[in-house]
Amino acid sequence: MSLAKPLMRGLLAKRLRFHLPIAFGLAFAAAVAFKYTVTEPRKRAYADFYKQYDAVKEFNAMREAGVFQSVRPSGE
Amino acid sequence: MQEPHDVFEKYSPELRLLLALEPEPECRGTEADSPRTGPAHCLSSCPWFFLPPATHSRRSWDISQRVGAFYNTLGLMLATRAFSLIGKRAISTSVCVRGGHGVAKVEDYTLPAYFDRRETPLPDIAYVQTLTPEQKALKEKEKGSWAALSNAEKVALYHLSFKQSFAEMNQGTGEWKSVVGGIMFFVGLTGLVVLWQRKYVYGPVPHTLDPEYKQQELQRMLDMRMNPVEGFSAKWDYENKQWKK
Repeated sequence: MSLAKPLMRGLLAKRLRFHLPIAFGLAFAAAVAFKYTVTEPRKRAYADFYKQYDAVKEFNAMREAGVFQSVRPSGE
Repeated sequence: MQEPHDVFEKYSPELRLLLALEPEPECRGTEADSPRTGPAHCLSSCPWFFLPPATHSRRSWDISQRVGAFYNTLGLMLATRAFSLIGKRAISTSVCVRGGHGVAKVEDYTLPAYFDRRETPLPDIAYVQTLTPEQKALKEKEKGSWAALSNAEKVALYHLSFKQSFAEMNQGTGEWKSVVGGIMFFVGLTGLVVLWQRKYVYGPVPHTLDPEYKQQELQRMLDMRMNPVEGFSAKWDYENKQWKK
């Protein structure tokens, strides 16, 4: 009935030494993944949208649809 | 004769004064021999401040005062003599009785209880309080060298002091299954209640939820070019007036 003496000290340090690098690694990986799956495509989408954007044409289309209060459609 | 005074150290000074009237050893011994002499014999060995003034000063008093004072002291001495005969410890309870109240009955739940808990491994009392002769013999054997105990004896000794082993007290109960089942049952019941409520309690929805109204809303959103880059209007094909494929 004699067991080995169990570990009495340094339990938190041992756990941190193992888990902390993993935690930091996973957090960093999550950030990188988010950047290249969400933010980069979004920036590209906005750039492409405004490359071919004619503001006056859009304004006139909206005016004819009747959504503005300051200018009524050209017919009235 | 110092012992009684230590026991009652924590009690009032009055009590200590009272106990100062404990007769000295010589006094008590001679009292047993010659009961005739009684308290009067001890008068000479009492502390001077408890005796009436007449006995230690030359001041002359009225005879009746002297007798009265004498009998006062006598009565006090007799009372304490009676207390000391009851026993040292009994004096504390007798003092309580003198106040008109007895000692409170000790309830079961006020006494230390046994418990099996992982966080506090050592309970207040041992599990087995009254030992059989075999158990007593085992306890005696425990006082010797522990190498002489067999494993079975060690386990028996353990079970005298404790009820369950750590493995036994830590094992799970399967209660979580009942809990999850209960949760699911009551959530289902609540769902039925909500359905009934929707049918029989609530009034009609506002007109803004009619299909025609929603169509007009949708058209207006597209006219305003809501979220034209990545969101709503980005999915509408304005040339062909349809949703983008």
